[in-house]
Amino acid sequence: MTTVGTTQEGGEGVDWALSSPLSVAPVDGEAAARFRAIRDEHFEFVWRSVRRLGVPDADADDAAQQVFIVLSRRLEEITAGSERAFLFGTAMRVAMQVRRTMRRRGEVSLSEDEAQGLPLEPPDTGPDAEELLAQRRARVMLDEVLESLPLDVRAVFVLFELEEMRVPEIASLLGIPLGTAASRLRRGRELFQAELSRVQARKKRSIR
Amino acid sequence: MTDPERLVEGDDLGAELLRSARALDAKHARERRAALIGAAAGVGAMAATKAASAGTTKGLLQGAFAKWVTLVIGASALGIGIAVGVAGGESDVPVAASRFAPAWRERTSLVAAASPPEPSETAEMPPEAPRVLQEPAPIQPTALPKGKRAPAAPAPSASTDRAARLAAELQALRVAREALASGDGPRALHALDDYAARFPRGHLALEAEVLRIEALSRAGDASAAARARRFLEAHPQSPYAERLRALAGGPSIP
Repeated sequence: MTTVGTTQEGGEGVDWALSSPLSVAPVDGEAAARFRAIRDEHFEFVWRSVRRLGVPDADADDAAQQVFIVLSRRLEEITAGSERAFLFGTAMRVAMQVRRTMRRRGEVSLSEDEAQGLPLEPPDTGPDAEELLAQRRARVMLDEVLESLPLDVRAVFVLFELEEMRVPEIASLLGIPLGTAASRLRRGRELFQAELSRVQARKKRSIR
Repeated sequence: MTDPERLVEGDDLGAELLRSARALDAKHARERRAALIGAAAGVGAMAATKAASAGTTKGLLQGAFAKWVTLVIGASALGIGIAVGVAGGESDVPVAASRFAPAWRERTSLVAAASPPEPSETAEMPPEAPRVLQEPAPIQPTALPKGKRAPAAPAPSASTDRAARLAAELQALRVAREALASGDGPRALHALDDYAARFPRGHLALEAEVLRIEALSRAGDASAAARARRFLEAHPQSPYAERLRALAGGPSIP
């Protein structure tokens, strides 16, 4: 078990530790309670973020857990109110790391791999199955389009379009000037539209 | 400064893709939270309520069910069987009386006392993401999911409701298992997705994960071996460990 913090300085406090990346033991202690509160509040945001920053579905659990391992180690440095910013910044670095590892292993083309894994026809009949399949295909296509965005641009774009945050909130979350956030968003939208047209054209050609 | 209008609010293909991804990611994030944190959070919840008899399998289930129900999925062609005996009230029926009982107990006692793999001590960001699979199935005796495809025939009382839910879970997994037995991997995976969507905090999530690993392996999906290894790391004493060891080494099963 990895001891990651103590409730007090000087050794009299109760050690708390991560018995695994998302669970804390013992269950009491101020730091452990804070970790749990942050984890419970922000887990879904972190999971969505790593996914949208380019980590494929199959690796998103691991990447999200990695973010929380980093959180556990740095908990004392994180001031109240800046947790979300810390988590998103860490999610960006973890996503970058995962993608780098995948490139080394030759697994760069996330979307193509996933697309190939999708059946051509729904495995079952019924509107739910078809809807699910359509959603997955759309997700694969979106991944493909988002791949054309540099990570810092992509971060602003997904926070704006998918998390529906406002530009000033994004600037604050990323610790960047408002103008920078706005210009990255503009750039993201241009790249998104351009790449979408390219992907569409490519798909049309491949169907012919 | 005024924000520009969001692309996601438009009516073109880009907007469609964004809307779809927004919904799908949110759904997956909720499911993964239930699977990963539900169990981890359960450690605290269980410890805190031990005195209220929710800390043991028997106590938990006694509280949950008014009468005992035994539901058995027999051994299939692939040999996955799940037998869950649920004891309640003053019945002496054992909580679980099958070779799968350890899995049930393991799930309900959760991970507080276990010694799972440690995260790296040195690297802030190790090159490989941690290969740790959390307990995927918390026991949630009080909350029933209200999915759009919730189990049919809701029962009038909480206890029968739960029994019906467990039966529905078993039925959902039976579909997956039968598909797998007939060699239809995609259909099995679809059935498992359906199970995960309907029962994000399912009592049989461990069994579902074993089936998923087998289905992926049968489909030749390389991720099967990694999932099997993660499962074995998290549940080395699981009754499923032996069958998964065979899959942890290679991408496919005969």
